[in-house]
Amino acid sequence: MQRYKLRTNSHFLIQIKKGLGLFYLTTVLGTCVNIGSVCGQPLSLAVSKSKATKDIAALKKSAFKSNQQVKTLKGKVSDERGRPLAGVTVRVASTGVQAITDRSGNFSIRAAESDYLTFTMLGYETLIQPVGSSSEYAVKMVPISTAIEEVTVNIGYGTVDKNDLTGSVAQVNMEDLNKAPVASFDEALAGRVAGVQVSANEGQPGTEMNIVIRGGNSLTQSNDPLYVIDGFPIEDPGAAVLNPADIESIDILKDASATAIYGSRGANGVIIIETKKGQVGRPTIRYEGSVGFQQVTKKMEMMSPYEFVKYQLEMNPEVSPIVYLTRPGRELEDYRNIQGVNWQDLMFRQSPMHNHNLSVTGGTKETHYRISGSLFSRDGIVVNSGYERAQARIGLDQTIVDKLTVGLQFNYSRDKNYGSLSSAAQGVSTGYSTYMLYRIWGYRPVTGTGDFNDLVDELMDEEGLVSFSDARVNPLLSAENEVREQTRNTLIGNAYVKYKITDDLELNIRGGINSRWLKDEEFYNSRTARGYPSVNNFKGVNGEFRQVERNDWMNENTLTYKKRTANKRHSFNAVLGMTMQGRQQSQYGYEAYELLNENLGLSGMDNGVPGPLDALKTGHTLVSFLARGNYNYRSKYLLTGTFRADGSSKFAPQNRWAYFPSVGLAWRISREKFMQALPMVSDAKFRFSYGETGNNRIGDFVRFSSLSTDYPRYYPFNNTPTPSVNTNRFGNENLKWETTKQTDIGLDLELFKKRLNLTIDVYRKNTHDLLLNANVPYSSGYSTIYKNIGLVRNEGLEISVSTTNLKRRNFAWTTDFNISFNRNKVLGLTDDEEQILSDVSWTSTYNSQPLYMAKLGGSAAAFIGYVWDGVYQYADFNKLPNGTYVLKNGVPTNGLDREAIQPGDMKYVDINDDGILNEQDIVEIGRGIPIHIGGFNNNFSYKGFNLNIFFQWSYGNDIFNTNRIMFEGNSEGRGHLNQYASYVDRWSPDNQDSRNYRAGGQGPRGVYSSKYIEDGSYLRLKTVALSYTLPQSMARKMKMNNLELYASAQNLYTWTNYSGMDPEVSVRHSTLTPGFDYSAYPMAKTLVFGIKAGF
Amino acid sequence: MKKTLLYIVVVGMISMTSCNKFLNVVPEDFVSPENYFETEDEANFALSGIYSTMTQNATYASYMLGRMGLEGDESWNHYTGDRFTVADNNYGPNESRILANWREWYAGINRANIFLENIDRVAMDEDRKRSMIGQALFLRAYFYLMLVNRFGAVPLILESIKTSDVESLQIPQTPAKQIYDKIIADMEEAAEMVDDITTIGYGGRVSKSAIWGVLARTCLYVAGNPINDVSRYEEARDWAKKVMDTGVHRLNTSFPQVFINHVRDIYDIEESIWEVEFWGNGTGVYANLGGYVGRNNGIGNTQDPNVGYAVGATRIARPLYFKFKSDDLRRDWAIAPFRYVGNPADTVYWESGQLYQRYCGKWRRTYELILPRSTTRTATNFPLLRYSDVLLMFAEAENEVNGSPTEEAYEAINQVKRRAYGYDQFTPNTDIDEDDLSYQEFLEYIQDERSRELAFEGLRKSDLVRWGIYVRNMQYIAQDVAPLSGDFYDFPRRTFGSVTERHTLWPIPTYEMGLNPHLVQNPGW
Repeated sequence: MQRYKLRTNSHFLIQIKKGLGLFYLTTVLGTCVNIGSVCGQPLSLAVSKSKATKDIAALKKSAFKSNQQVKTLKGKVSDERGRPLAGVTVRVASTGVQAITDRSGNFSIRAAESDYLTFTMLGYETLIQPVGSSSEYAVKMVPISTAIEEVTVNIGYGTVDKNDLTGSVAQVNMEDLNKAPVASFDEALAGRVAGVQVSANEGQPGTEMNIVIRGGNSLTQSNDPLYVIDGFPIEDPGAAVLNPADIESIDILKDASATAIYGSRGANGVIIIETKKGQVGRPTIRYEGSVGFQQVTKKMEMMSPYEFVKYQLEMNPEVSPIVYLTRPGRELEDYRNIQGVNWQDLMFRQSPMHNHNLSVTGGTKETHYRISGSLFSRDGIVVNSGYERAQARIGLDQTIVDKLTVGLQFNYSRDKNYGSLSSAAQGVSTGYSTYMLYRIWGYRPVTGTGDFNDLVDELMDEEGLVSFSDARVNPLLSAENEVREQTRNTLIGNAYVKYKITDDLELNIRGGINSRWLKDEEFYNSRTARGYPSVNNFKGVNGEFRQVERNDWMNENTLTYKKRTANKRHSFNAVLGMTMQGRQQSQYGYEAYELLNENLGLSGMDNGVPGPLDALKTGHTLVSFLARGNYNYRSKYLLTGTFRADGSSKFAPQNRWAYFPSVGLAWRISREKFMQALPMVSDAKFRFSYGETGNNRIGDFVRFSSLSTDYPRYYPFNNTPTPSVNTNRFGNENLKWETTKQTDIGLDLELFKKRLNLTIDVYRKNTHDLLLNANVPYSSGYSTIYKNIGLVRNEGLEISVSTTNLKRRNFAWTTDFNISFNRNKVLGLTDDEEQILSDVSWTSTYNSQPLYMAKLGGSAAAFIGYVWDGVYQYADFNKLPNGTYVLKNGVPTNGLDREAIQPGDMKYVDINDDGILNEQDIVEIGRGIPIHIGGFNNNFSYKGFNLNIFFQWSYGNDIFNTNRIMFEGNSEGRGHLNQYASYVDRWSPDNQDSRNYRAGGQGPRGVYSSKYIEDGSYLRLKTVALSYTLPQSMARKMKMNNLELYASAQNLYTWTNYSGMDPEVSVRHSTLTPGFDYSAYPMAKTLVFGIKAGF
Repeated sequence: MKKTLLYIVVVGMISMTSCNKFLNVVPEDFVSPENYFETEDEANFALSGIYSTMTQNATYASYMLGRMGLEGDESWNHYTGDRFTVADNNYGPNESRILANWREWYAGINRANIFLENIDRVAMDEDRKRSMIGQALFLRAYFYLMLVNRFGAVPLILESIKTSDVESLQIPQTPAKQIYDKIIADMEEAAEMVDDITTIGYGGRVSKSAIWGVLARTCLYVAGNPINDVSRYEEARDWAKKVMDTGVHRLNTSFPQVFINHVRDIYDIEESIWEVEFWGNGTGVYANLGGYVGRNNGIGNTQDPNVGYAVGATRIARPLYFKFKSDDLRRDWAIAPFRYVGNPADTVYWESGQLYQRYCGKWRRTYELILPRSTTRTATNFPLLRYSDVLLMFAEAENEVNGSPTEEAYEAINQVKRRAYGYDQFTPNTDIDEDDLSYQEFLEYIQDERSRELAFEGLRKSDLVRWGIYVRNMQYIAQDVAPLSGDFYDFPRRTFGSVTERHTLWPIPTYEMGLNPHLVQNPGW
C-alpha cells in the first residue's frame, strides 16, 4: 500500500491510497472515498475543509480502471494571477514518477490517460488533475488562503494536531515575535504566552532573560526551563546563539502531561524550538535587514548645581562653604546660572543597532536545503558596551530511498558582549561606591573651582573625595578604558536518520553535539576604577583571562507507531525511545596583577605578578527510556499516557533511576450531538492532566564530598605559604530527584466560527523532595548540604484569548490577550527550619542584613525590613533650655542612641512597642513575586499595511530601590555626592511636611526599610511595528518576489509608579531574591527601520 | 514488525546493562576525603588547613582584633560600621560576627576531625605522624576552648558527620565543664606528641611549650568563674612551671621589640611562644594570607603609605592609661601617645586630657618591612601565647594554691616588671620589685599587671570573667566615661554602659538555633 500525503496541516488529512488497482481518498476522520468515480471528469480538488467534504461526497461509489496507454505530456503551471510558478512538484499518481516545473513553470512528464497528476507546492493548495486526452495542460494553483488555521504542535518526539492535544502546550506566534527588533528570541518572549514569565535582570547587553514557567519550583536551584532545539534537549543553550529569523516555531510545554516525556528535566517546563528547514522549489533568496538606534528609557532627574550646593551647605556646614563659596568667591545664588556637568548625558548615548539576515532555501523532492547567515550588532546605551553576533546555519534533508531520509543541521555562532558590568562592584574593594551608576549619579556636577573640564578629564575628583574609602572614580574615563569582553563560539550540529520500517512504524535515530568555547577577557589599566594606582588597589594594573569549553552530545533512538482501526473510530499512536546524553566541561583561567606595561594590554600579563589560577573539569551523563501512547476515539475522547525513566550520573547508584509517569485526558465536547444546539461553539475541549516530572539541576558532583586547596587558606608556616586543605563540601550520597506533581484542568473554546478562541488552564504543582542547598547547623563544619527537603506549591490560572475583531476585504483586526496568575507557597523547609532568610551582596554594611524571607506558609520571596514612619517631628522632642532637642520618653528610637536623634531624622515603626528599634521590629514589607502578568497584542492590516501593537505587563510585585538609599538622602553621609532631584524636598525647619529625612538624618546604617520598597507593577508598550508589503507587481518590477518595508520599536513607553530607571529589574536575581535594584544597567528603547526582500 | 520489536527489546536490554557503567562519571576535578590522606604531603596540607582556621577574618585576621569586645575594660572599638554590634556590646542573638566566629571554629573542628579520622591511612614516618596528630588534637581542643569560653555549653562534636540526617546534624549541647575536661585531656595527650619548640624553631607551629602554656590558661579558666573548679589552680601552676623549666624561654629584653618582631615576621621563640602567622601585604597570589594586625588596631589615621594606613579602631579606656606608672616603658608603647594627621603624615601628640581617643600602639606599621604598606592587609603576626603571660599565670596560680604569694611567684611577676621598666629581668631590683603583698593584693596586682602586659591581645574579657569582675569593671569604665561631653563619647559610653550579666557569655546564634532545636539559649539572651 502506498500513501501520498498531500497536506497534513489541514483538518482533513487527504491521502491517496493505491490498492488493488483502485485509488482512495481518505481523511483522518475516517471517511474513505473511491476517487475512481471521477474518471473522465475534470477534477480540481482544493483540499480545504468545506470544499473537500463537498467534493468527496460527490466522488462516492464509482469505478476506475487504469489500463490505458502512457504518453508524454507537457504543461505549464501558473499562480492565481497567471504568473509562471517554478518548483512545483508534478507527480503521476499511480507510478510515482515526478517532475518539477522550471523557471517558466513548464514541465513534461509521462503518464497514462486514465491516471491522475498531483501538483504540490508549499504555500499552495495541492491540486489533483486527471490526465485525460489532452497533451497540453495549463494548471493554475491557488495559494493557501486561510493561513494555517489548524496547527500541529510539537510535543517532543513527535507532533500532534492541536485539536488532539491533551496537555497544556502553548505556541508562540513567531510572526508577531519576529516583529520585535531584538537579538534573541527570549528578549521578545515576555507577555506572549500565558504562564510564561520572562523578565530581564537589567539592560546589560548580552545578558539572558529569566524564564520561569508556572512559577518557581526550586528554592535554591535553577528554575530555567529545558530547551529542546531541533530535538536536542539542553538546559542552558544560550538563547542568543540562535538567530530569531531562523526559528520556525516555538512550542512551550507547561503541564505534566506534556513535559513528562522529558522526565527528570521537565519540571520547569520545556521550550521546544524548531528551526526553519529547506523547502522544495527553486532557490529562494531572502534578505532581511534593519538599522536603527537605541536610547535609555529614562534618565534620573538629579539635583541642579544650585540644589546640589545648597544641599552640601546643609549637610556639611563646616567644609562646604569654604569649598563652594569662600574659595571660589561665590554666593549660593550664583550656582543658579551654572550649567554643571550632566554625567548621565556623557555616559548614556544614542547607539546604533544593525541586523542583517540572508538565507537561501530550495530543493527537489529528495533534497531540501536551507543556508542562512546573519550579522547583528548593538552598541550599548552606556559608553563602551555592546553586543555583536555573527552566525551561520546550514540545513540539509535528503531522501535516499522512499523509506529512508537523512538530514543534518549545523549552526555556528560567534557572539561577544563587552563593557563594564553595571551591577557588579567595579573596584578592588567591593563597596557601594565602586558601582558604575553610583559614580554616574553621584559624581558632582560642579566644583568650587568652576573649571568643569578638570572634573571630566581627571580620573579622580581629588577635592571631592573626603574619604579615601569612597572609590568614586570618574565613570566616563573608567568606562572608556576598561576592557571586559566575553566571546562565545557555539557550534550546534544535529543529524538524523529516519527509516520507515512499515507504513505504520518509523525508526528515528538522532545524534547531536553542542559545543561552546567561551572566553572571558578583562584588562584594567591605570585609568579605570579597578586599575588606578591607589593604596587601596592591591592589584595595580591587572588583567584576567578565562576559557571555558563545554561539549554536550546526545543520541536519541525512537520508534513511532501509528495505527487506525478499520472502522476509523479508534486511532492510536505511540513513541518508544531510548536516549543518551552527556556533557564535559572544562574551565581554565588566570589573573595577573601589577602589570608593568599597561600599553600591552592583556598580552602584557606575562609581565606582572601572577594572581590566582582557576582550573575546573566537570561532566555528567544521562540515559533515558521513554514511551508515550495517544489514543483517540473519533477525535472526541482523547487519552495520552507518558512514561519516562531517567538515569543520571549526578546521583549515587541506588538513587540513580527515577520514573516519571503522566496521563492526559481530553473530551471534545463540541463533537457531541447535544452541542449542536449551541451553533456559536465551533469547538470546545476539556482537558485534564496529572503527572510527575523531575528536576536534576544540581552540580555534577555534589554527591561527592570535596576537599579543596585554595590560596586564601594557605598557612604561612615559618613565613612560607603552605598549601592547605579545606573541607568545602559534604557529599550527600542519598540525593535523588526533585519531583513535581502537577494537576492541570483546561478548557479550549472556539466560538463564533473561530472568531474567538479561548484557552483557560488552572493548575497546581507540588514540588516534593526539593533539591535544596539546605542550611545546616554550622556545628557540622558545613554551611549548606544538598538535601532533598522541603515542599513548594505553585498554583495558578492562565487565560488566553484571541479574537478576530474585524475581517473585511481589505481590513483586518485581530487581538491576542493573555493573563496568568501564579501563587507560590513554601510548605516545607529543612528539618525544623521555619524560614530562610536571604541577603544580597552589594556593600559590606548591608551584606549580612537579610532583605528576603521565605517562610513556611508564605511565598518564596517576601521583602523584610523596618517599617518606615517618615521623620521625627518637633512634637516628638522636649526642648531643653540650652536649645537642644531630646526625644520624649515613650517615643521610640530609630536604632540610634536617644540623645543622638534630632528632629527630621529617619523614623521607623516600633512594631513591638518596646521603645527601641531592633531586629524584633523587622516585618514583611513587600512581595517579590507578581500577582499577575500578561500581554496584549493587536494586529491591524489594511491592504499591504500591517500595524502590530504589543503591550506587556507585570502587576503586584515590589522592587527594593537600593539606589535611593544612596541618592535620596545619602545614607552613608558621603561628601560632595550628588543626589536625586527627589531629595530637594527634604525635612528642614522650613519644610517640616517632607517625609524625606533632613540632610544627615539617615539614622542607623545598614538597615533595610519600607521607605525603599516600591510598587514594581508596570504596563509596557513593548513592541510597535508598522510594515508595508509592496504589491507583487511592483516587487516584480524590481526583480523581487516580494518586498516589505517596516519600522519597529521596542520598549517604547512604560506606565509605572516605580521611581527608578526601569521596573523590569532584578540585579541579584534568584528565586529567593527577586526585585533588587542597585546600579542596574539602563533599559534601552529601540527604533529600527528595515526591509524584507525575497528573490 | 515482530522482529523489530524483538530487536528493540534486545537493544534495550543491552543498553540497560551498560547503562550503569555509562552513568559512573567520576570527578576528576577535586579530591574527596576518601581518596586523600595517602602521602605525607597530603597530611601536611590537611594539617595546614586546620591551622588556617585562625587566619580567617572571623577569627584572628580581623574580628578578634578589637571588634568583638574581647578586650573587656582595656579598650573600645571605634569603627562606624561596628556600631550596634558585638564590638560595642550592643547586639542580639543574631549578631552576624558572633555567628561567623562560631562557624569558623566549627569548620576548623570539622577539618581536625577529618584529619584525625584519616591520618592513620598515611604511610609516613611514625614520629612525624605522631607530631602531626598531636597538633591536630591540640588545635581542635583550642578551637573548643574558644567556643566554650565565650558561648558556654556548645555541641561537642568529635567526629565528622557521616550522613546528612537530622540525627547527625542536630547535636545537643554538652555542659561547659565536660567540654573543658575534654579540652584538657586532649591537650595533655597532644603535649606528649608534639615537638619541642627548639626543634620547631619558630612560633607559628604548636610546640610542647605552647600546649603547656595554653593548658595553664585553660586550667585557670576552669578554676575561675563560672566553673570554679579550684583544684585546677595547681594544674595551672604546674603547666606554667613546665614551660618555665624548659630553660628555653625568657623575656625579650625590650618590650617594644616583642611587637616589632611580630610586625617584621621575626620569630622570637624565647618569648613569643605561639603566634598566628600572617604573610604578605595583600598582593599577588597569596593576597588573603595577610591579616589586619596593625591595620585595624593600629595608630590612625593617615593614608600616607610611608606610615601605613590604620583604621585605628582600637581606642583605649582611660583607666587603662592610669594603671601604668609613668616610668613603665610599656605605657607609651601599648598606648600610642600620638596620632597621624594628613598625607604626608604629621605625628601629632595627644593632649593630656585626650585619653579615650588614644590608639593601640603595640603593632606599629612604620616597622613593616614589606613595602608598599598596603591599606588592606599586613604580614604582622598575632601572639597567642607569650612568656610573660606564662610567668603571670604561674604567679597567679601559685598565689591561689598557697593562699599567698611565694618567692617563686614574686620572682615571676618581678621578671615581667623588671623588663617593663628597662631592667635586666633576672637581676633582683629592690627599687621596683614587688614584695610583701597579701593574697588579695597580689591577685589585684596581677589583675592590673595582665592588662599592662597583655593589653589588646584578646585575653582580657576571659580574664575578667574568670575573676568574676567583668560586669563590675565594665560598669566602672561606663561611669568614668559618662560625664564626658561630646558625641565622640557616645560610642565608649554605649560600649561599656551596655554590659550586663548576660554579656559574660555570647548568645548562641539565632541562626544556629533555628537549625538545631536542641540548643538552649544562654541566660538573659
